[in-house]
Amino acid sequence: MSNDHSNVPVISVDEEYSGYRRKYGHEDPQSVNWCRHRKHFFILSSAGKPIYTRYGDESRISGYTGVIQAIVSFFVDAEDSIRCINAGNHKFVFLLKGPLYLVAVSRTNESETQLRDQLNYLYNQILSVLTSTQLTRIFEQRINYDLRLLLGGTEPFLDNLATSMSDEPGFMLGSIQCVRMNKELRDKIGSILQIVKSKDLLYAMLIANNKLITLLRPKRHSLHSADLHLIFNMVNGSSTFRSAESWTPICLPKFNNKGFLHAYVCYITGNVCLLLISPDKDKFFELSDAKSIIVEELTSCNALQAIEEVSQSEGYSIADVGAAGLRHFIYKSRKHVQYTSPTFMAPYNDPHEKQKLFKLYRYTHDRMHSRIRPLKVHYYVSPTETILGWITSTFELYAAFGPLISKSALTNSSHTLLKWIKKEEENLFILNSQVF
Amino acid sequence: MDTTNSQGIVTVPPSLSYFCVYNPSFGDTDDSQSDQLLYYTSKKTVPMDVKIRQVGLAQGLVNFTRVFSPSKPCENVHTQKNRLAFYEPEPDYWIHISIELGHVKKVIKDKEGKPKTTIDYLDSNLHDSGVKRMLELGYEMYRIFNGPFEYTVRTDGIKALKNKLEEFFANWVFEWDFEKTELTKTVDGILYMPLSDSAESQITSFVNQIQSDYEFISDMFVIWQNKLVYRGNGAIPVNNVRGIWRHLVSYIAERDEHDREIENKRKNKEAEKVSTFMGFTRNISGSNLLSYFSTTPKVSPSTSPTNSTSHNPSTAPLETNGLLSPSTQVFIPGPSNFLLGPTNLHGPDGDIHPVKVYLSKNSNSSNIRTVDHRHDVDESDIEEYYLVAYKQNALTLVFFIPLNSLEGSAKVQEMVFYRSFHNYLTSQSEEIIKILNENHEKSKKLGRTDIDKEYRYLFFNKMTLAVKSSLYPFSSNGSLTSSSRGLTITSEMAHALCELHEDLEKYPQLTEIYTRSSTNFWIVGKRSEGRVLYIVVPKKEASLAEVEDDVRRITAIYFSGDNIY
Repeated sequence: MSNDHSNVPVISVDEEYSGYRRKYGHEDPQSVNWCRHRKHFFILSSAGKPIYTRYGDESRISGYTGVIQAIVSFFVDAEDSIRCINAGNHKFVFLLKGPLYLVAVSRTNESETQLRDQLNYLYNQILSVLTSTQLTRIFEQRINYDLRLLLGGTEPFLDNLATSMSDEPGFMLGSIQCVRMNKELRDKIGSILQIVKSKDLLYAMLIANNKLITLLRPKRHSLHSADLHLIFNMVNGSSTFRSAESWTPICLPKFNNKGFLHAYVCYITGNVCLLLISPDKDKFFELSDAKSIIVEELTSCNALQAIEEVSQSEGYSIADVGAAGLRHFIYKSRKHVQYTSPTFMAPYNDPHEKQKLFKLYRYTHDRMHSRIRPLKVHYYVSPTETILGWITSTFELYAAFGPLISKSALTNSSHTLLKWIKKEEENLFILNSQVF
Repeated sequence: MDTTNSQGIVTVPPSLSYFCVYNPSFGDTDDSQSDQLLYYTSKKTVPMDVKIRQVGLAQGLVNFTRVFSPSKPCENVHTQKNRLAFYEPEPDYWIHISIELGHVKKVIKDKEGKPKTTIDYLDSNLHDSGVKRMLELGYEMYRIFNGPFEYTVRTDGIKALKNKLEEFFANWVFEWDFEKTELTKTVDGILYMPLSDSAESQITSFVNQIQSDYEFISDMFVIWQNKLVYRGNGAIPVNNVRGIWRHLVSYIAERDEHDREIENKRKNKEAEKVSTFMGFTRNISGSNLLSYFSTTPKVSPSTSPTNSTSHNPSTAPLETNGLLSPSTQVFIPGPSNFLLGPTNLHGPDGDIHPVKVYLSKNSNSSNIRTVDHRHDVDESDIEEYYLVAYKQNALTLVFFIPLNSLEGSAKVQEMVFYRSFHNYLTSQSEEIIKILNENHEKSKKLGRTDIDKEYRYLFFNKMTLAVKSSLYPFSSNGSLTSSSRGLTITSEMAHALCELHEDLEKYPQLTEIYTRSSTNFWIVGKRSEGRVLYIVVPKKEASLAEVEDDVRRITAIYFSGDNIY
C-alpha cells in the first residue's frame, strides 16, 4: 500500500500539542467548507466536551458536541441508545464507549457497520495512549475533565489513522498486508530474529511501508490485526522513528486494554523498521543490543540488502497474474488474516479513480458481511466496472473487471486468479508465523 | 450456544410506538409548543409534556443533521430498540413515526449457570424504504381526499386540519403490519391488465362514447377485477392514478365480499332476509385503505338480527368505530351499482354525498411532487373533482367530474341523474364486459408454464408504476392460485429482495446485481430505463452464467411484447 501521506504534516511524538498544524485547522462549524468534508470524526466526553475533531479546531466545536451530547442523553434516559442517523447522502454513526462518545459524519458510501468499525479503531488509538484503566479513572474522578490535556501530541496519529482508513482496505477487511517475498528469505529473517529470544521480548517484527515482513510471537499469543494496525499507524504517523532509536509505551487493546507494553522502534534501513515489544519498561538497552545483533546477522548473510530491495519494489502488477479481463483485486486469506492486492495500475493510479474503485469494493464488502443475511456471491455491473465478491470458508475475493465482460469469462478469469494465488501463496502470505 | 433453552424463546414483532404530524412554525415560543402538534397517537397514553419532548427531539435531530445535509435532513434514526422516521411532505409540515423494533427474547444461562434473559433487537428486519413508503402513502392518500395540509389551514383553519388528520389516520396507523416485508408493498405499483390491440381500441371508443354523451366527465378509469385497464387521458399524474386505483380496489373487494355473502345466504335459503341484512359503512377515511391490505368487510353493527345465525366469522358484526365522523357514514339497505355515488337510487337528493378528490396537475417530467422549490402550496396545482364509480360484474368504471364544471357539479347532487346514468351504463357495458372477459381468459392462459413453479419474479416500471409479480401467488380472497404450488418466498428471501431494491435505489447507475445467499438461493435485480426486474432463483448448484440463462428465459416468456412492461 502507498505510504503517501505527504498531506499530513509530519511531527515528532514529543512535540508540544500547540506545535501541530492541522490541515483545515482554521475551519469551524460556521465556515462553509467545514461541513463539506466527506467524512468527519468527532470524539467527545459524555459531558459534551470536545476531545477530537478531524477538521477544524476542537476548541471551536463545543457547541456542536453539546448538541451531540444532548441527543445521546435523550436516548440514554429512555434506556435506549442511538446508533445511526440517515439524512440524504449523509450517515451519522454513533459509538458510545463509557465516558467517550465517538461520532462519524460521512457522505462516503460506507455503511453503518464499516463506519462503526472505524470509530472502534479511533477508540483503540486513544486506548493505546491511555489504557482503559486510566481512561475510566480520569472520568470517575472528574466527569468534566478536558481529555485534550492528556492526549496532547496524539492528534497526528488520530489524523493519520482517519486518512489511512479511507485509503487502505486492511481496516475494512480486518486484516493486514505482507510484503511479497521469497519464502526462503522470509524464513531466514525469522530465524535471525529467533536469536534474540529472551523473556524480555514479547513480539519482534519487521515492517516496511505498512506491510509486514515477518513477525515472531510467543506460542500462546497471536497478535490481533487491530493491534497490528495500531502499531503500523504509530510507526507511520511520526517521522521521529526514522531518525533515531525510540522507546515508547503503547497499549495494545486486543492484547490487554488495561496495561502498557513498551516498544523499541528503529529503522534498520531506509524502508525497513524493526519493532521489539517488551512487557518491561526498563529494557531499552537490552533491546537496543538485540537490534545490533539482528542487524549484524542480517548483514553478514546479505539479507539486509535483499529486504531493502524487496521493500523498495512496488509489489506486483495485475499482469503478473495473467487473468484475462481482470483489472484489480483484493484477496483475503481468512485463515491467515492477511490480504494481498496488486499495485494500482491505470486507471486506478489516479487517486480519484482509486477511491471510486474502493467505493465499489466497500459496497460489496458490506453486503457480503451482513450480520443477519451474509452472502456468498455478490456480482454487479456499473457503467465502468463489473465487480465480483466471492466468499468461501477459506478466502474472500473482491475482483474488478471491465463492464462488458461475460459471466463465463469472468468466472474463468477468477479461477485463473485463484490458481495463481495458490501457486504464489507462500510468497504472498506468512503461512506459518514463527514463534519464540 | 447450546445453553439456549428453546422453550424460552419469545419473538415479538415490530410495533408502533407513536405517530404524529406537527408544524414547528405553529408554536415557536416555549409556552405555545403544544400548538405545533396537529395529530398525535401512541400505543400507550402519554402526557402532553412527553409528546412535546418527543416533538422537540424530532426537531433537534432535524436541525442537527441540517448542518451537513441542508436539503435532506434527518430521514430516519436507528437506535438499539427503536426506529424513528421523518417525512416533510409540505414545507414545515412533518409526519413523524416511532416504531419499536421486533425482537427475540431468549433465556440463556450465564457463566455461573444462572438463567438470564437476553433481548436481540432485529434492526435489519425493518427496512427504511418500507417505512418511508408507508409515510408517503399515508400522505398521498390523505391528500387525495382532503387536499394539502396548508390548503385546509388557509381555507378552514388549523382546527379543521386537526379534525381531518384525526379522521384519516386514527384507524390506519395501528393497522400497518411492520413485520411483513414484502417487496410488492415497497415498490408499490399498479396492477394493469394487458390488452390485445383490438380490445384496446374498443375500450378507447367505449370511453370516448361515454365522454361525448356526458361532456362534463373530464376523465375516466376502467378497472377489470382488481386490475387497471384504462387509466385516463394523461391529465391525472400517475401517483394519483395509483391512489385512486387502490382506493377503488378496496371498495371492489368489499363489494365482492358482500355479493358472496348474499350468494351464500341465498343458498342457505335465507334470501328473503338478505335484502335487509347487509349494510355498508362508507367512509372516506384511512380505514378504506386498510381494506386493501385486509379484505375484512366493513359491516354495519346496527343491522338485522339474522347476524346471530351466521356461522361465517367474517360476517360477525364489527364494533362501531366512534372515531368515524357520522357525516361520512352511510347505512344502506342494499347497494346500487355505484361504488361511489348514491347507494339507494330511490332515496332523496339529500342522501347523496358526492366524494370529492384533490389531485395534482400533471407536469410533464416528474409526477411525484418534489419538496425542492417549496415555499407555499401552489393552489393552481390542485385540481378538484367529484368521483363517481360504477360496478357491474367484474367491470368498474370511474368518472372524474371537475368541480369547476357547472353542469357536472349540479348533476352529481341530483338523484335523477344517477338513475338515468345507471340505465345508460347498464346497457353500454354489456359489450365491453364480454370483450374484457375474453381478453382476461386469454391472458390467463398465456405464460402458465412450469417456469412458474421454479422461480418467483417481480417486475416494476417506474414510469407507469406497472407492477407484475409472482412473489406472493395468493389471490385476494386468500386462496392459492394455480402457480402457488412451486417455490414459496421465505422471510429471508423477502428481506433480501428488499435489500436488493434499496441497493438499486441507492446506486442508480448499476444495471444488474446477482447475489447468492449463504443459504444458496440466487436473487437477481436487472434494470433498464426505469424498468426493474427482480428474480428469485432457488438453485443451489447453479453458476453465475447458468443463472443468467434462467433470467433470459423468464424475460423472454413474460416480458416480450406487452408494451405496459
